Amino acid sequence: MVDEVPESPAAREALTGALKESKVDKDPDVLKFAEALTTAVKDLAPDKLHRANIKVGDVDGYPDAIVHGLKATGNVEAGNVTARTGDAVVSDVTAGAPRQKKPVTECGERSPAVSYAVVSVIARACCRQHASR
Amino acid sequence: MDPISAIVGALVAGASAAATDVASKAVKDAYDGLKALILTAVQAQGRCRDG
Repeated sequence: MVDEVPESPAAREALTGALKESKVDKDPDVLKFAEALTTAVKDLAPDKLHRANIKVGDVDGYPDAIVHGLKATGNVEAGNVTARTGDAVVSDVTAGAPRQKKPVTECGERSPAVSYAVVSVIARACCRQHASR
Repeated sequence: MDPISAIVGALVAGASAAATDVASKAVKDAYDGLKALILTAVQAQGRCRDG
């Protein structure tokens, strides 16, 4: 249940009850693993854990097909953007967290980027097409 | 923090992180290990209660 809905209060409550009943809190191995897991999660970059993706299927428009102003902290994916007689336009699509100033290490070198984003947009039109990012 | 809350917190954080595509091997290993230990303990408790 916690696997499926980790933030659910009901899942937490059920888990707490089961743990109390089984007395796992007396097991040093369990406590050791819990501590290791907490440390490993804290070591993950927080911006990687809070990403939202946008996935748009095919866009089929008559006369125009316009995909504009999509912004996601994670990935943006769009299928085929097809205009039957007018314009197929894909514009102002932003994926990934806003760029922050990279911290500078003591020796003056910049640290490597910790996040990445993938944008996959295909635009097709019967007549004209424009695609921009 | 009491031990039960610490374990619950670790499991919830681990489940959330493991569901993403950025979870490290350390997170996945620790999460799987903790789950296996707890499942064993819960099953053993059930056997004691039933027997």
